Amino acid sequence: MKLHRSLTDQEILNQISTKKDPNQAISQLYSQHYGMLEHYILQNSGSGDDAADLIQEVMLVFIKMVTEKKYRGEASLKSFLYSICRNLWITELRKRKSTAARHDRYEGEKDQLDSNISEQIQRNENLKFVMDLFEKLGEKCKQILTLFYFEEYSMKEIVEKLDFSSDQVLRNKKYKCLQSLTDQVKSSPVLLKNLQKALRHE
Amino acid sequence: MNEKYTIEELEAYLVGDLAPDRKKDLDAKLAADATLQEDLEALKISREAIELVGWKALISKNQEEYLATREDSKVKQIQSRPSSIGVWLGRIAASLLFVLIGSVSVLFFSTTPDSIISDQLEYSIPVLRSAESNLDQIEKAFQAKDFDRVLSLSSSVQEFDAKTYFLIGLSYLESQNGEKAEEFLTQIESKNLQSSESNYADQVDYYLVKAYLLQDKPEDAEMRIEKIIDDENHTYHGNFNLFDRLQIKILKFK
Repeated sequence: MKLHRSLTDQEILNQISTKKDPNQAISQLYSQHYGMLEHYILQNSGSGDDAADLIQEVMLVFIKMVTEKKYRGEASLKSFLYSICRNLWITELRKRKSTAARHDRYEGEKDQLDSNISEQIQRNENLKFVMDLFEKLGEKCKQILTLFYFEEYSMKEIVEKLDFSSDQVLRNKKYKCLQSLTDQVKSSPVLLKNLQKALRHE
Repeated sequence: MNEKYTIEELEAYLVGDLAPDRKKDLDAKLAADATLQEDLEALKISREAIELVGWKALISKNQEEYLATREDSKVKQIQSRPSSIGVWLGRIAASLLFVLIGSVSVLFFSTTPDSIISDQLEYSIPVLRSAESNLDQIEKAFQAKDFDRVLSLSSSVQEFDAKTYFLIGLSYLESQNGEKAEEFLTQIESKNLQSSESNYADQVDYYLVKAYLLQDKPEDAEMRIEKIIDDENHTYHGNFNLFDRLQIKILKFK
């Protein structure tokens, strides 16, 4: 059995932002904070499945904020995750329940939350649309794009890994795949509208 | 995509790799061209989404592993942990066992031959008006609780007489001489067997218990106690109980 010492909050942030053994960092986030986040959902009209779905979203928002340096450990990691969870759950409840009383109550609560978190949640909503579009790309495209943008492989490494005949062939393929995705983004009315709103800083 | 800028150039712009003159040109275009802005924003969000897909896969994998491990440990806990009722029953049983062990320990260390015979009934000679004036010396001495005198007079007894032997036996008991008490009391029993009589039969059983215990013969005492308890018509049936049986067993164990 492998034994790891617990990472400090700062080490977790470093491992995520540098993508150096991010798996260990995420694993620790789950073992240390899943229970607390789940408890919040369960205590606020949510189910275990709600918690499982929402906590994935919490982690995605958290990762985005860490990689974009919007969170550098100012608040404790635990309270930061809690804030994201609370904000996301309130947003989810607003979608589910539209009675005026509830709307006002949750809206009131949301006002008190960190605006950075709210912005990131909104940004992630748009990103989720694009991620769905990405899933519709061909397998080869998904492989190339993931290896390049997430795994941060060099073009040369991808050529070898995916058996491309040359660097240029791969480069052309990669841009073709990326172009396909951006075209779909622009052809989605919802996304286009949200992009335009973002550009106007609304 | 706009006609003047390829996706490669827009990407190079986003990551800061675009040549300075092309960057300056693009900055100027972006300020006036909403479509170009949308192109750039679409590219930006696409790149972010691709990266997030990778993170999402990593998160999903970790969540799956975490929940599976947690489920496993819950099952193990349920298997290894008794129910709350079980816990309470276990605690009650442990408490009772503790009390039982304590009681048995006290009983074990406090049980002596004396503890069984300490409240043994004293024998009183039935006083009959007709016999009162004819009490012989042994009877008088016994009534006066002058047991030493009874024993000194016993040497002059020539013939067996159940009553006399009985009083001598009891006097030996009073003098804590179990062996001699046994000798006289069992002689009554022998004579009874020979004559098919039952003189002092129940009394002999009863007082022999003490005679045996004084001699550290718990097995013999136990037999007499069993006999008395098992016989509902025995005169001393109510004088021994299960607790006395238990005490005898402890004495045997010791």
